[in-house]
Amino acid sequence: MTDEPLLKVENLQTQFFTEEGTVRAVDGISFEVNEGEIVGLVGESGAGKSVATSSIMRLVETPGQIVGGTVTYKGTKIVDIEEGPDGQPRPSEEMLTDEEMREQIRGNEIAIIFQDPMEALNPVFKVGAQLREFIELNRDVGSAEAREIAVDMLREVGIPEPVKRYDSYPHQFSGGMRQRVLIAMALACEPSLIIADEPTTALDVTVEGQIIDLVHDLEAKYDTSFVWVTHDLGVVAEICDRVNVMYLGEIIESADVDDLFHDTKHPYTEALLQSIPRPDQTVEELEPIVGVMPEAINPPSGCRFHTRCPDARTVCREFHPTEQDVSEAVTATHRVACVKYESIGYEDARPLETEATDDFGSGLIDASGEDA
Amino acid sequence: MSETVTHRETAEAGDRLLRVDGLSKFFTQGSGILSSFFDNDVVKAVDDVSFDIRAGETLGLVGESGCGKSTLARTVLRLLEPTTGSVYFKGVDLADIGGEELRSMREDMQMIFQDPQASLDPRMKVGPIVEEPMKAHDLYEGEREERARMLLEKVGLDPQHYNRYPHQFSGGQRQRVNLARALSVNPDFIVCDEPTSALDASIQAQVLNTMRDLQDEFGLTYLFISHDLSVIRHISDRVAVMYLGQLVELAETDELFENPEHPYTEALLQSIPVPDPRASGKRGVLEGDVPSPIDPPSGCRFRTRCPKLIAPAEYDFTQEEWAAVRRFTRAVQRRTFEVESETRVRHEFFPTGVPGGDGGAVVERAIEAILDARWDDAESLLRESFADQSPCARELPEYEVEAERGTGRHYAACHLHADGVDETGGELDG
Repeated sequence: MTDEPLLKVENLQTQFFTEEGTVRAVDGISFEVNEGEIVGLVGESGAGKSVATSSIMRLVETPGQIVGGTVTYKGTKIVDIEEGPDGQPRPSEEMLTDEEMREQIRGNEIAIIFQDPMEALNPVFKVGAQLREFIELNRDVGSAEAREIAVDMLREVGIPEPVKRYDSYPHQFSGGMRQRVLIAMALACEPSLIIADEPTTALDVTVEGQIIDLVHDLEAKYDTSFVWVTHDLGVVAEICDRVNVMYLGEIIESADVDDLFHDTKHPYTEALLQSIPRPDQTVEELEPIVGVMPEAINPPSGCRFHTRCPDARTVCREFHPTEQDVSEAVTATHRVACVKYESIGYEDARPLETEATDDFGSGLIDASGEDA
Repeated sequence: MSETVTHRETAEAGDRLLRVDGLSKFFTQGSGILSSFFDNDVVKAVDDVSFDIRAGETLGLVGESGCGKSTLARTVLRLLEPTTGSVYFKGVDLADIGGEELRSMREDMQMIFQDPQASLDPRMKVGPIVEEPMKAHDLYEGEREERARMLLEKVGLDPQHYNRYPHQFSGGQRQRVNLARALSVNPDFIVCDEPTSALDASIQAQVLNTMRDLQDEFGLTYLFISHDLSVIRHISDRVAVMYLGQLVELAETDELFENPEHPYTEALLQSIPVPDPRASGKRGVLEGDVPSPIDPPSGCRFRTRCPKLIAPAEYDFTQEEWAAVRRFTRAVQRRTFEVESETRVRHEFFPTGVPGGDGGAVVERAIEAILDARWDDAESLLRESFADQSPCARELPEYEVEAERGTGRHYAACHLHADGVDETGGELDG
């Protein structure tokens, strides 16, 4: 492993400018992906996971805009936003143009796998032809050779009778098989990094197991790195080396997978772990997190989790936590953004009187109060 | 109450509330005059399913997509006409009654659907939505609004939300509105079809807890359908596992999760990702896809993917030999390998040599066929000689096994539980 990470995301900010106001969907996230590593991006719906990945790929569409931050891939700045003379964000000179991004990065270097394979494949073209075209465009090979590579890739990802299935249409495949086609497509140009956006969420558990095993094999074989976006902590435990937990546009905890589950620091991560039923043990009472995630259009002041946090105190409402390094071992970094780990008077502050801290009932009553 | 319902028994906790007996639901493809002249493919969505639900319990029904869970649920409520079989609710066969009598029976049986958005009319306010079933059944005249507000509060919403529209609520809250609506006619039995699948983890926990509290308070009985084994384990008293239209196993929850007796249940349990990186379970992954319900495999429907398929008695295989032959047969079926050379094939599937005897001779002929690129011949040869000869292919399995935990019955549809069958299976393939 080299010193430089494969992908380095620094203070990335993406906002959506809507009629109701500015949605700060991704609000200053930073993380790294090293070679051969599977890095998880975990959170509930609305946390900003998918916006984060499409920002890295520069696939954000209006009214969305990347308004700050830098993404460096193998030393190249694929996103680099600076403040212009008029105070507006603008791309720096080092940032790749759209054309360079399309020709050099997407597909060749970084591939993306989406949640819904039916939407990612064109229903009116044969699967093999779609795969072949993609290989032809990205690998600079002739049609016949591309076809051979395509069939090999289909076999590689475990599609039975690949020669025959090359001529099938997407609707003739099952969901799991379609997802395999997308994985084949992502792998076809031997990228160094694959961004997988909830790739197993729509699949059955036995199929999900097959795909996870496949990814493990391919990771070992091609030494590909992954950014794995999911809401499923079971999948995280199964597949990831390191994990970033997102809440309302921010990364609130970042750790090695074992530390995240067994040395949990952030109250949100803790609460999330407590709220899921377990397949391997009987849990009598689940402890849900009260309320729902507030909207990113008007996030709570201070720590964004304070409205639902069981440990919230008055300081949490006033101070926005900064990321603290709480690593114990030298090798594994463990960072957390929680006021508890800062010395700004959490100890002396009074507990906030919210439903979360008082621990009564469910907090659904005020949950959607504003939009009535 | 109309007099048609007076003969209904009142169910005490623990009594049998619902009995499903040999229930089947087949769908024919194509309709109209033309297609009636041709042989139509029949989709056996639910095929000969029997089980009981006791008053006050939650029966979990788990299975992969397409296995017939939702069809079963709808047929139980007679939202779909059963093809054959009976459903007894409080002792009354629902197939015998119709019209007004069935409609009034539905007062006691409600359903909650997966998509909380799609099951609420976007143009109706939440209050009237909750009142709708009361109107339909002519109940609580004059006190409907009061009851609706009371129910909204019971399910964890603000009674003030009576005048809001569904779009003003989050997904979890909408599912609570669905719960309130189902409860409005004071039912005994609620079929919940994947009620929390569309919800986030933290919200799912809130809704599951509410459902449990309501069960205690109103004495409800649930048939809870889900593909999520963690949710099923949390909410159910007993669990039924479904595969390709049939029940393969039914037992008390702890017994089923700790002591699964059907290879399919075992495979399902092994493939769930456990939210703990230190969990060291053996992970086995099932190969292949679920076969088509139009022409399901004979005998045990799981046999085409079963890692424990029983060896046919006419060949004298050792366990290892049979495992190798089984793996080879399936690889040929799915064309998962390329023939580079004969030695490679032999080395890949039979590193210690092809078994001897009649069985070995069949394998040799199959290898020859593959080398000649006659894959179809090899496939049918192997299938006819081995897969179709297995006891699993001949009879429909139905066994009661002794429960290790609890006192309940444990049903497992697997021939491994027949007398005199050794576990010739072993490790999962792949």
